[in-house]
Amino acid sequence: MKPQHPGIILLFVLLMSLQTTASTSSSYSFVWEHQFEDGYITTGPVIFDDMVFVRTSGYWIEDERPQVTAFDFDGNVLWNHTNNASTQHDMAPLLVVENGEGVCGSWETMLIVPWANGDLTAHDVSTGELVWNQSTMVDQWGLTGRAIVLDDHVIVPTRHGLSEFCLADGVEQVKFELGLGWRNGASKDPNGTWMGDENGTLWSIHNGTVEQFDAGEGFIRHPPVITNAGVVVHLQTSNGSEILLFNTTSKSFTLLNESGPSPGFPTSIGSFVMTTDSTHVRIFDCALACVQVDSIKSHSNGEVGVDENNRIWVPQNVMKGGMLILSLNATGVIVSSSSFNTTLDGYSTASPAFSSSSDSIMVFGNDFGALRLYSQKNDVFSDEKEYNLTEFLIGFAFLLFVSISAKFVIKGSKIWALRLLLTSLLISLLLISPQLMTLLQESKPEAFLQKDEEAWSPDWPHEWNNTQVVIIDLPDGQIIDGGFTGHDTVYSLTVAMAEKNNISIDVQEFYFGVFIESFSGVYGNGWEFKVDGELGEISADQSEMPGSGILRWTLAS
Amino acid sequence: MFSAIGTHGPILSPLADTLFDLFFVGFAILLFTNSKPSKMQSFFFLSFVFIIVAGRVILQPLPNVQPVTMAVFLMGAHQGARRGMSFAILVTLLSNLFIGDGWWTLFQAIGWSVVAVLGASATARSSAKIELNVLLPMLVASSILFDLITSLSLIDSSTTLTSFISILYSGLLYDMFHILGNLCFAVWLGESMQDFLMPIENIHEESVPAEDLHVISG
Repeated sequence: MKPQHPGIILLFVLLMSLQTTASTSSSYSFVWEHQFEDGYITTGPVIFDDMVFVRTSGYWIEDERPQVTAFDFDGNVLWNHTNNASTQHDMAPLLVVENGEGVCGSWETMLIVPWANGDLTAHDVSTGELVWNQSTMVDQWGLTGRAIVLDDHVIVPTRHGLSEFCLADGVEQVKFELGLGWRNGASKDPNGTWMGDENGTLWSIHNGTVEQFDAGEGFIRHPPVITNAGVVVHLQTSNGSEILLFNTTSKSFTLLNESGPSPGFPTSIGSFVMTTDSTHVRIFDCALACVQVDSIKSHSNGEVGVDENNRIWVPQNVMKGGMLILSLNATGVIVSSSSFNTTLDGYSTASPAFSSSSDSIMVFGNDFGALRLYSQKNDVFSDEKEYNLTEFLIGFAFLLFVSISAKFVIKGSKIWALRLLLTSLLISLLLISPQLMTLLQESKPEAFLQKDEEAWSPDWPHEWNNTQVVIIDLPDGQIIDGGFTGHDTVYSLTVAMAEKNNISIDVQEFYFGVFIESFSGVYGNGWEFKVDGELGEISADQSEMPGSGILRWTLAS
Repeated sequence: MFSAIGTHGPILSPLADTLFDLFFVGFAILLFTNSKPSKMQSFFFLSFVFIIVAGRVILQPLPNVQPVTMAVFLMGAHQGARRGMSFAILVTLLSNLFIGDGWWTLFQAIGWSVVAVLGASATARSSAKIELNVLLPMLVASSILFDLITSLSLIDSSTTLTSFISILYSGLLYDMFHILGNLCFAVWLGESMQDFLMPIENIHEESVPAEDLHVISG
């Protein structure tokens, strides 16, 4: 078919470019974004009434400190509270408690904030004013797990156990000495509370009686999930993880499945339980006995969110980020999966929060410290779509070349058609080569992964948990440092570690990447690196570094 | 060549390294002179070496996009295998002085030499232009062959078949750029480059006898 007018080609190309480069999902439209200058968002925001509450986290060295901020739905800051005493990673979820009264008193609607320095603060939701403040024990860390409300108490997992505080005045009512905990939230059933710890122990506190049950060698770093079939825990082990069901009658564990490393928080969805880790999302039907119904490949190590349509949003904790959206049928089978991506995608462990108000708000944050709000409201905001200008230009240029090439083919000039087609293809691929490289690496068949075991050492400080750790194996000994965050590449992390530890490095740049020639003047036969035991096969500046992991540099043999 | 920066492979002293380089340059020159070139042919040959070296160095920021494979193939096709191999070795050694020298240089030189031989065997007559419908598939095959040969430089005593396949998998994107780059060069410069290479075949320095000149002009 002969094109009638060159303008038709141009219009076609423009429309195709716009369509292909629109990056929001069809149901939510971008409204506003707030970029925190310091820190990152590792736990999901909370929506209450017309307010959004979010906390930032980080390892603070200079003047910056973690904060809790309240926004309205238009993105205006309502109040902000900074904890000047907290310097560690603050990851405990925020908790809104509606007004009420009980035996120990009455209280207004509050935001409960557990802090890594051991503080437990309660704030007026409207003003942020401090209602009460309690201190708990600190052993390198303070409070890191999810708090829950039981009657007129707030139950908080502390560093060495569990405490209950009166909601009215914050006075500690009960305290239990249990195991060492980290991100080990509490869960309640009709008769009491369940909690895990860093020794793989599942604790039960019922009617004042404490019992402990050994789940195995590993860590329980999430609130246990209470089901009809029993209590589900996702135990983090040295090799990966184990999904276990604790039968409350027989007081024994059953292994449901082995899975990938760095488990996230298991989530209850009706009678189903969903687990996440670095390899899969798994769905278990726990109506009677927990049985795995379905699974899908995923890389998620934190929280998940569920919207008002029961779609499950799973933040992907990888460099390209984004969220996996799943829908289950009545039997728990995954019937649809899609992705939600934005221009600020990156590592993320924080779940999105949803409001079921008439505006259908969704809000989420990530490791870049960016907080974004989306709406399904049908007004001027919903017409705004978020486009990536660079992607648009690439798409436009590519399609323009293809269209012009087609015109030459029609005219009989195959050589010019080939020239334009091949050149545009090459340029387009070059421009998206970083994404292609990441895609290739992430889709690498497991059989080809050269992986050794890289175990977490019990001698390492607990504040290194879930951070980036670097090991340099020098001939005269190892240099190890951790607590690093936010480094996307092996090279970036290595340079940061070397600078902090005054280690000289020699670097050689080639067209295909950057290579490290020496550490502290030691050249040897060259240096190679492994990330979580997997041998690096491309240059350090092009090799991804996960948000938490172990980077090891060794001399090549 | 054997400074072996950041890779597996033997390490040599700077003196030994230089001697090796000189050996291979000498070998390349020997290959070229064995093909009995005229002075004009030698001039064009060396000019072409420097042009392609410059092209490779200038295009260094683009991963694996370089005109060498196509140039070597056509050199082999129109000048013969010996000159093609000589060209391959000289371009490799000279351009790697700027880009980066190491154990892989040897494999690159071997890889491009194989491409030159492939080029020489691709045509029945060196004076016949290779059409695009033959040239493009041959360049794809040459690129794949070259990439495979250079990947062998990463093999050491600990390499298994699985790990080698893993290495090849990791390099797929660069192989794709190499192939596409050569195809682009072929469609834009292939005809010109063949025009440049082909006439050298027929240049001779012997003078034509006067009576033959009259016959020709008559």
